[in-house]
Amino acid sequence: MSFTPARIVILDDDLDLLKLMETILAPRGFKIVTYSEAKVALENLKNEQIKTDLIISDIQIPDMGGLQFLSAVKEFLPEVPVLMMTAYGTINMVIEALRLGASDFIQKPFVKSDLVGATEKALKTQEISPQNTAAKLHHEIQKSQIICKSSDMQKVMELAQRVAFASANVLITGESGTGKEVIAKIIHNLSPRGSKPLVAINCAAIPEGLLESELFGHAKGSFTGAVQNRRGLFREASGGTLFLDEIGDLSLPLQAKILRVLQEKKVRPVGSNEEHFVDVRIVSATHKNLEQSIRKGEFRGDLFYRLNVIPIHLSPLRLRRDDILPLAQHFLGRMVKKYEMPEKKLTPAAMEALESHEWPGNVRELENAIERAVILSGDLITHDNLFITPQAQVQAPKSTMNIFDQFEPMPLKNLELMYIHYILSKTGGRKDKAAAILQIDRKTLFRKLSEYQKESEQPAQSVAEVTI
Amino acid sequence: MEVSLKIPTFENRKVFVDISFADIVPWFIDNRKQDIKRIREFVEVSDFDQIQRMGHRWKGTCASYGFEQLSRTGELLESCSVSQKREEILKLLEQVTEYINKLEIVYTSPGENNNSNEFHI
Repeated sequence: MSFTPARIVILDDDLDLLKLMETILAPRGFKIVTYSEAKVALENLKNEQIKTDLIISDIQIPDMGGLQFLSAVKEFLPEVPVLMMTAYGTINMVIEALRLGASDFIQKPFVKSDLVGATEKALKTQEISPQNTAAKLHHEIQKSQIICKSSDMQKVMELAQRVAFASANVLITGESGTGKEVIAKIIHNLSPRGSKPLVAINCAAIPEGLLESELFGHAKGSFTGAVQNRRGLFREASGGTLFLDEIGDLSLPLQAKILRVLQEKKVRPVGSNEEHFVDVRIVSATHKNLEQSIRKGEFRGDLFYRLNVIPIHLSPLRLRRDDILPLAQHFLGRMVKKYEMPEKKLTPAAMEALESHEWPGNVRELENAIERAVILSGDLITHDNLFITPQAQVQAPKSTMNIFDQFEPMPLKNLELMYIHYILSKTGGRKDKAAAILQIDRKTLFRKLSEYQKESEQPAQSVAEVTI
Repeated sequence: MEVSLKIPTFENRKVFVDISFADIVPWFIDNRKQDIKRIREFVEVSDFDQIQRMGHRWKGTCASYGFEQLSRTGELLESCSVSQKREEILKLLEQVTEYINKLEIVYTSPGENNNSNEFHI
């Protein structure tokens, strides 16, 4: 049986880089053909009868432009994967390249393992048909129970599908409660790293002193309490994806350390002299405007560029109102099942109220509103059960009517539960913020919610039976 | 958006390079020396576009060979040429010429810990 080596065409106007890439790839059994001019490469690719397995092209080629080259190649070689090379600072071009059909890209300057890894992966993508990818995405959407009826969310899902196969870092931005973590999970599950771990950490939730050892690990005895070696999340996620939530809240010294890991692909645990190689894709998320943070000196520009290779923005719910009712119906079905209740329906007035509300806490707030309504309503969920007020009414002068006049008398604990849910809706479901407003500690809040939930699960005295 | 550039440090002249690049590194270094000559000529005629292009190439290529300070120099050349800082460019060329002339290249096998103190861009 004869073995035909994979044929790789490389296009770059930098002869030093062509030579280096050939030096790296040829010994691995690939047949390398290099071009420094796009027009010549295009002409030869069109005319030659030899099968090309992969094309690697710089995104900035003087005689034609990498994107134009990519577009032209895809016209007559649509099945051949094209890997684009880019220097940082060309994010828009990267997105456009992915839209035009690039299978992945390599960021310059790259290290040998990056090039070899991306090349091998791109050659494997030939085996994955678009039908399989679409089916997998459909499955992921079902599994994550994400609702994407609005065109905004459909675009996000399309982008998530495209970028999943790339190894590039992704930065997901959007207000709290818009579903950033859900998108991160979808990207991971669709990616070739899907079978490897997805490790998530909320950078804002862990004190700075602990975060370093949490991320990079520590050596036994490196500080008080370090009773054993700890691998750290970068190493735990090796081969997979590390999801850094609320990256915008990271301190500057830790930003520098993360930048170093991204550059060198090595971590050094706290108190250790040993470095460990890590192969991790970083998906990060923030509700902050990082460009503004850079201007204020609160976030490093160089780290931003490393993380923001592929930006994905999630619009707030108020700007994608088409998603509100499908989401509400989805949560309604889920909550009824969770509390083992008979089917419930939203009244037209309730639906109207849901659609007109501004949802400052976004999807999380909507989910909480529906959960609260399911617990507190009868068969029909009315406007009053939702405890949301149209924005205009919120700003209207306060009524002199006693707020309790609208309720039937009820046990104090029911009122307390209603108020807790009301505050949670105001904080977008953030229990830490809710606890601060209620002036109780988080544990007390969790305990109360848990107690009420247990009581609601007892059929005889279900809180849900109280109609207000 | 402005991003602050890190000035290359030319004190540490020891550079660790993958041994599989040993055959092409001398050629690569010669090319950089040629580039420096050409950049000086471009400065003479105030052709900052060419300097920017060359800086961009250095930025994207040199660190892949293992020469991270040269990539950083490229980044700085690119930035200085945009703002047409002739004096800064000439000063940088002087420093990088001396750096290249006194480079100590150490070839390492894959996986070998080199403890390089160089900056990474």
